[in-house]
Amino acid sequence: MKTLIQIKEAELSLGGKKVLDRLNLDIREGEILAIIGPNGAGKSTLIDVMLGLKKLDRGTILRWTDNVQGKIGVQFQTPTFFPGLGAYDNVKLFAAANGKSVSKGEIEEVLRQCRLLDAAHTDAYRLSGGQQKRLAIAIALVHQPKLLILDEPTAALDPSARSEVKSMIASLAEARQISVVFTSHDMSEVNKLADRIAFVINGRVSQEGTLDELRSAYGTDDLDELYTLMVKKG
Amino acid sequence: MRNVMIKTIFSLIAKSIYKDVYMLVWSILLPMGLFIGLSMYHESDSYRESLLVGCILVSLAMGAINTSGFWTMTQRRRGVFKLLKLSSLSISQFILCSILARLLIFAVISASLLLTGNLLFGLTFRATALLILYGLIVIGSICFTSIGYILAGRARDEGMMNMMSTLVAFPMIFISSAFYSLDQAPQWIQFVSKLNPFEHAARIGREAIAGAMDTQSAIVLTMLAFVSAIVAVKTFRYD
Repeated sequence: MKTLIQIKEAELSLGGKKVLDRLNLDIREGEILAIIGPNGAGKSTLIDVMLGLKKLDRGTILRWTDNVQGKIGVQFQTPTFFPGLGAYDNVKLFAAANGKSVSKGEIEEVLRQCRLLDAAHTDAYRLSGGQQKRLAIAIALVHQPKLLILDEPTAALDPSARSEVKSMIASLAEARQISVVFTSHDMSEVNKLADRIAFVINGRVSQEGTLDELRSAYGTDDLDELYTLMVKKG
Repeated sequence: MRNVMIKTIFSLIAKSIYKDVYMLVWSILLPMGLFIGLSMYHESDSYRESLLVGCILVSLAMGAINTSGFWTMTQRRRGVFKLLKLSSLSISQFILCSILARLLIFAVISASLLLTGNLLFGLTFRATALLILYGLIVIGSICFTSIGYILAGRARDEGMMNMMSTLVAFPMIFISSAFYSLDQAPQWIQFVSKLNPFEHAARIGREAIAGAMDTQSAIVLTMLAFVSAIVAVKTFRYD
């Protein structure tokens, strides 16, 4: 499997605090990778590093392309849209910003896949929490990126909206054949979506593997217990 | 392809700005109220003409500095610029699209003010005057919108942005001859006014009413616009 992003011995301090500490991680083509770990473990910083928004103090990051602009789709923790514009216009604007001229039909297809066609002309900031997350994913997908990065895609959603977003991510990844990296605290989400898991704590990847490998290494099938054991091990 | 992309971004940013409540207050309600209110108490056409030009410039400066500053600040806080940084769009293209979008809106607002002057008070302007006024709106938009971006780059939050834009926009208007003569003002105010883009805009506007061009002020304002635009691009912050 081809490696899209390879991070080696990454170190980064912010405000005098070490947030990444000799972190190693590979992101492979076609896989769904879950980055899990407690709050403040360094997950969001790791995403900023992958995106090139933060530079490493030490270590290396190799990407499959010299210029990632327009080649990665990203959904940040807080959904971000242009105010005063509806879902349709936001998708159109970010597609244009990524150098892609999309037809009305193409935009409607992305909105349909993200189950937003009925809300296409509703102001983006008036959508419900679940709809906003789905719109952020639609914006991330419209320019057909090779890699989709989702920072806590189901955080702060009610159970039904969370379930909708989860099944949408699974079907999109399968239909579009793209690599997906997502961060989460929710082990049931990880169980449903991820091919591989990287557990981040204290700024480094302490455990890595498939869910079955981690279950067998810790001798438990209970997902919450598995998470607790990995935190304890650190 | 590139042109289609820029055109799409320009039109959608214009649509986004058009719905901005700050724009409604600072660029439309304030100058329109000021013009109608003061014109009702002064029957001299020459005063009303000067007032109208002054109000167009207030609309332009307040709209460009306050509104673009707040708009930029809010988008940055929401993370919109982080998403744009990952796109193929460069900072200069984004700022250009924003300035052009604001320019279009200022052109429409100025036309509304001119039309109000004509319908309510019978004011008329020669074609040359209108041409110069619209040239002034183009250069003024670039200059004042860039100043808004520069301030937004320095501000940490909306409160600081509010303070900074007020500290810049109001003195610019007051230390100018847009609404009164500075002939009797202290020397230092007269000196400061020579560096003030709003004063040069006011001088160009005043001359434009007579169908003439203040070339010196036009050159100074163009230079200030150019420098402001470069500083705005250099100091633009994504987060």
